[in-house]
Amino acid sequence: MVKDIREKAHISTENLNLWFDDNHVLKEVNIPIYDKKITAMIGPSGCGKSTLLRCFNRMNDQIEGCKIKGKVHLYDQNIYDSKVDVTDVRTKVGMVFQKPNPFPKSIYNNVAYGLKIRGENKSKIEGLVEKSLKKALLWDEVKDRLHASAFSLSGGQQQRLCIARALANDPEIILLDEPTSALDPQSTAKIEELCLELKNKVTILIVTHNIAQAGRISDYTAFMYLGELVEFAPTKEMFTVPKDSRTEQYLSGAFG
Amino acid sequence: MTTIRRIKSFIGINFLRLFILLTASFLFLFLYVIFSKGGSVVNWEFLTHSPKRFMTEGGIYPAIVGTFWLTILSIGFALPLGIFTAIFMTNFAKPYWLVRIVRVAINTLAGVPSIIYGLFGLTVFVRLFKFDVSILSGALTLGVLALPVIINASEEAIRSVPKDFRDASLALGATKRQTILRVILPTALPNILTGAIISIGRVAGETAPILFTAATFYTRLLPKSVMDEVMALPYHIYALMTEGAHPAKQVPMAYGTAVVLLALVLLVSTVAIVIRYRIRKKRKW
Repeated sequence: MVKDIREKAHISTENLNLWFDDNHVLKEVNIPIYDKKITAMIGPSGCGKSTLLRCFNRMNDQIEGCKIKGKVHLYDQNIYDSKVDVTDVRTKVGMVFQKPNPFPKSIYNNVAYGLKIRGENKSKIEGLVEKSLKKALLWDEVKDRLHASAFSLSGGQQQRLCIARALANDPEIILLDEPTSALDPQSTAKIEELCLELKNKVTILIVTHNIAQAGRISDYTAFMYLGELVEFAPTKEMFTVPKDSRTEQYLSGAFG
Repeated sequence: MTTIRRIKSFIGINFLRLFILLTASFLFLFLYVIFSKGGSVVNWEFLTHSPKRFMTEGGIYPAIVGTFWLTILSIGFALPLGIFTAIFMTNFAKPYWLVRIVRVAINTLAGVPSIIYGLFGLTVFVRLFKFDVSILSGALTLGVLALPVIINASEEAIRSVPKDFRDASLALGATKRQTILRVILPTALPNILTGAIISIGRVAGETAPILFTAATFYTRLLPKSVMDEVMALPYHIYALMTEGAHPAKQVPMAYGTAVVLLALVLLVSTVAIVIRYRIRKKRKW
């Protein structure tokens, strides 16, 4: 049954376990992320949802004492295979962080960064920067000041710049780690609008603390608790008839 | 109660003011002494001519040139080496025992008296490498002296680059090397330059390390290559004050040389500060 799920998924985990030193953070996680859908991961703080997200582009590799057992399949390739080039994985699987983190460079150079490190030529970069900023719904706000510092933008604009920067790599999947938790409601609405807009082009996986946000934008929802994937289902189904009592309690605000 | 508190705070604040004034007055007194004693001998001839008549007349041009080259070359040697060491210490830092050894070595080097650098330079660069008494030997010795300051400043600068930038770069598919070269170093550069600026002042003014490695008491000639020995400003001051047969003429010249040395350090530092300012402005965060 697990194998069947995986065949239809864009990226999926197989019996994924993760430890930080002796701390067992992820336990036997099997989750499919479907192609060109938005999947939300919810759960109380410390449940492992951000850690799971970082398994999909191997950002946990950076952390000392991190040990992983199990597989993560990008289509049918295990991205933890020793033959896999990790920079290649991170080009295909883009990421946007909780706190907007543009580089201390101009708006233009932020978006161009991924292209420059792969040695793309100038005219191609120019076209893709514009395209990416348009996709991130930021172009109209910045087209007259592309060479201004990225730090001259507001927090919400900076976060959309980070999305544009990720999009410039033309990723198949975008991972969003609580992308709106540092933003005001208006900027949050804009990011949500952007997610829905992008859905037809890329697969989106979003970690959120905001249950309502998961309900508004996601097609599938995963509920995690204490390092386990408790429930995974189409969002509408989970929000109306959760199968697990812990899911029901969390959704109704009994803990979290 | 409140009156007592008020009096206490009044005394406290004015006590601090007094200390600030005291510190500032030392600086001004220092500048006053040097300039009043040496300012009068500094003129165009003093800057552009060689010493004449057993250093009782003429100028200090060869010493200016010597100090300029010693400083530039020593920083040119120590800055890249220091930055590479700092990159290793902050980004790779394995194996652990090697990092510890390097750190102990750096801190020990920082505390070594400068005359011992002189002896070290004599043994290693002058004798062992057979560079003789030359600009090269002196610059390398001064470079080793500047290394600890530059490494510590660079390490601090690299550590203060937010982890967010590094994560963002790696998440975009950059390699570690690309991340260091394109994000971490450019962001850390202004603070690394601060370390370099401090070193410039230190290196330009050191006498002991060049005593046996680069400096010569007197020459009318300018160095033709880095293998030549040179006159240097700090050593020239020392020579004028201790070896002269005509103190009445030579002591003012020593102070004049000090004025020039100060001005030179100030000039080089200012250039470095302007460069740093420009970089900072370009990459504000």
